[in-house]
Amino acid sequence: MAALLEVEDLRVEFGRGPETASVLNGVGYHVDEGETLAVLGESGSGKSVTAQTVMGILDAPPGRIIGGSVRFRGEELLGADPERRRLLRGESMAMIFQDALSALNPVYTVGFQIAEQFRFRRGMSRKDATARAVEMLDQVRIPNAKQRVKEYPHQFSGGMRQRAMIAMSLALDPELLIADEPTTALDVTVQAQIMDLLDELRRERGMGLVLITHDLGVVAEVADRIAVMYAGRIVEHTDAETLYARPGHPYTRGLMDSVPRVDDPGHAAGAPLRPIPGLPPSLAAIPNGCPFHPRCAYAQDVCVDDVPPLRELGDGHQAACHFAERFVAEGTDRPTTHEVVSG
Amino acid sequence: MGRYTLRRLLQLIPVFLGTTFLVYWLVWGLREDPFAGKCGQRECSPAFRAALTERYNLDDPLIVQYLKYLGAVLTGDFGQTFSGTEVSTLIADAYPITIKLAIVALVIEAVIGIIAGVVAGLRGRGFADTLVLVSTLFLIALPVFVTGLVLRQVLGVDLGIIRTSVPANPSFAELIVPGFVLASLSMAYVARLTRTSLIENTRADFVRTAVAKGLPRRRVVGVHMLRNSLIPVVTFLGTDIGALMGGAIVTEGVFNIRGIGGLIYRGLQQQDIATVVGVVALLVIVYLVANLVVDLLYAVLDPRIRYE
Ligand SMILES: Nc1ncnc2c1ncn2[C@@H]1O[C@H](COP(=O)(O)OP(=O)(O)OP(=O)(O)O)[C@@H](O)[C@H]1O
Ligand code: SF4
Ligand SMILES: [Mg+2]
Repeated sequence: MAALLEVEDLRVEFGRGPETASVLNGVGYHVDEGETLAVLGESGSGKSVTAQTVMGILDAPPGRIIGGSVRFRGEELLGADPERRRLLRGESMAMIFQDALSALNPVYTVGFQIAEQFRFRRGMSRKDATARAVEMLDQVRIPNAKQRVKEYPHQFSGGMRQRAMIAMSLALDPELLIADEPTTALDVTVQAQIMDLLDELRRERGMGLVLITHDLGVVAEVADRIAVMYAGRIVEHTDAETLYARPGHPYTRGLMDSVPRVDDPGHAAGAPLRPIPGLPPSLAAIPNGCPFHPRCAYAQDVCVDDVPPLRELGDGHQAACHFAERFVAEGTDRPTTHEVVSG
Repeated sequence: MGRYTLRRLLQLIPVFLGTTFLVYWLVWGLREDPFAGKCGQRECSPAFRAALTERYNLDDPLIVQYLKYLGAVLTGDFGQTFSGTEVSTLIADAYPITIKLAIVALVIEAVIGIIAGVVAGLRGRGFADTLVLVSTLFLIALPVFVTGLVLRQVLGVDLGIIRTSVPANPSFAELIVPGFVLASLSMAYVARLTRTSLIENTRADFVRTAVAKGLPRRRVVGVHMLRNSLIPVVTFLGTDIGALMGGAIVTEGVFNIRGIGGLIYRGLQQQDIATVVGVVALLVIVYLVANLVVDLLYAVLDPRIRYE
């Protein structure tokens, strides 16, 4: 059976001439029904652009898809009829955005913006559609939904606004939901509530979920699998447990060292945070060989010359590093990157 | 919003008093002899002087004169010209024509301006966009009297489609060409404002959301993009109403329209003080009210704005 969503070797560029930025350089991932795939990576690594390409909402121009494949239930979407793609949006795949305040139209009520989909995709009357919008707000547990459906986005608190955004994305009962950093703009206390809500709705509806996030804590809790992105590539791909215990790519390890982790006693006791040294590469001039090598403490000559492909390490664990087996064998209890270097 | 409106209306009072007093003082207070040159080459006769001094309360201190005048204006009495015509009669004759002309101009600038702006903004770089940019630049660069004289010459004299001089009581149809001339500059601004605003909104997050919801393109553009893009345009049009209602000295002059602009022009030329003060007082009110309406309209268009 075909996976719900399969992305393969996706390549996207922005701009023209010598300034052309290679934003996606062969991204691939897949999501099955009812499954959560987390996508991790530094800012600019191409997480959102991948999602936008899947949804068919990439800004093009300046963006340009130059290759690859996006399949939904086996149906190729790249190059498909635009009307066909439009009908898939909302109905089969939906997306929620990081900043609900700017993602909702400020001059229409929340109810109008939810009801709109029932009216123009289901042909419902304005009245029926509004009633359905109230139900949707109820489902995402917005209190007093009957009243709030008439309010404007700016009258909602940040958390309530994100709930409304979720309600809107689920209106047409999509099979796949892409959540692009759904909690980043929110207070820490609200973040957990929104994540719980999303996870619960996913389970109830058996949706596939692509969760783009920076929050490693969240990832451990809800993700079935994790894809780590760097400079427009997937550099590691495995389940949460393996990723934490035996990361195969130095970049993944760097990501984990750079954020506080309450769930890990080794790091909780005031162990210093180590940001990954250096900056992500300019996408107009991605380094030869392993794109991570200028920042990697383990880089060897081979890393400068040869691009490490994403390789299968066994049990579905994949990593794009020439020495992945070694890092997997070491696990995270071993000294970290920087200690090895200085020692 | 009710309380806000009330407060704004109250604020109009000092502004109205201040501006009208300023005008009153400029035309009455600043001249040594208000009758200089009024009676041809000769000095005015003492009887004439006495009558006018009486009519305009010129023996009182300026502030008292002003208050008496104001009291009369508030009861609808705008006083009389030197020759004895009621200023309110002059205004009543001229104002309907100005309002007609203003309506024609507003419709033209709104309809043509917005359509041109939308076409240019939606199509992206290309023929339509360039055409709109160049033609609006052309209109902006041309002084109104040139546009007016050229159109009068071509359409009126050469082609004979319109009359070169608009009749005393013109119909809307007879005001189309003058209205176009009067609207030309604002029309160009409306087109450009609509275009810029639309292009800005094309990349707005909420437009992307609307696309992601799988709405038809018509609806994404017509409902989500357009409504937001038109907020600054409608505000501009609202402000322009105030200006249009003030009469159009140049356009009225070119087409010989007997509106409020011409009235001010003749009043200034003939040093007819009462006419000038009366008309200016009226225009100040019109302008202030138009401004208030724009602010209220703005709150209706953009729910984020709440006046408390
Ligand atoms: N509309 C656009 N025009 C030009 N460049 C773009 C556009 N959208 C994305 N990019 C470029 O593509 C690259 C990847 O962007 P993307 O938004 O996918 O990053 P991200 O991984 O989602 O980062 P973040 O965590 O900050 O959201 C960035 O370098 C960005 O500059
Ligand atoms: S391939 Fe080399 S440079 Fe790249 S991550 Fe592995 S060790 Fe580091
Ligand atoms: Mg992003």
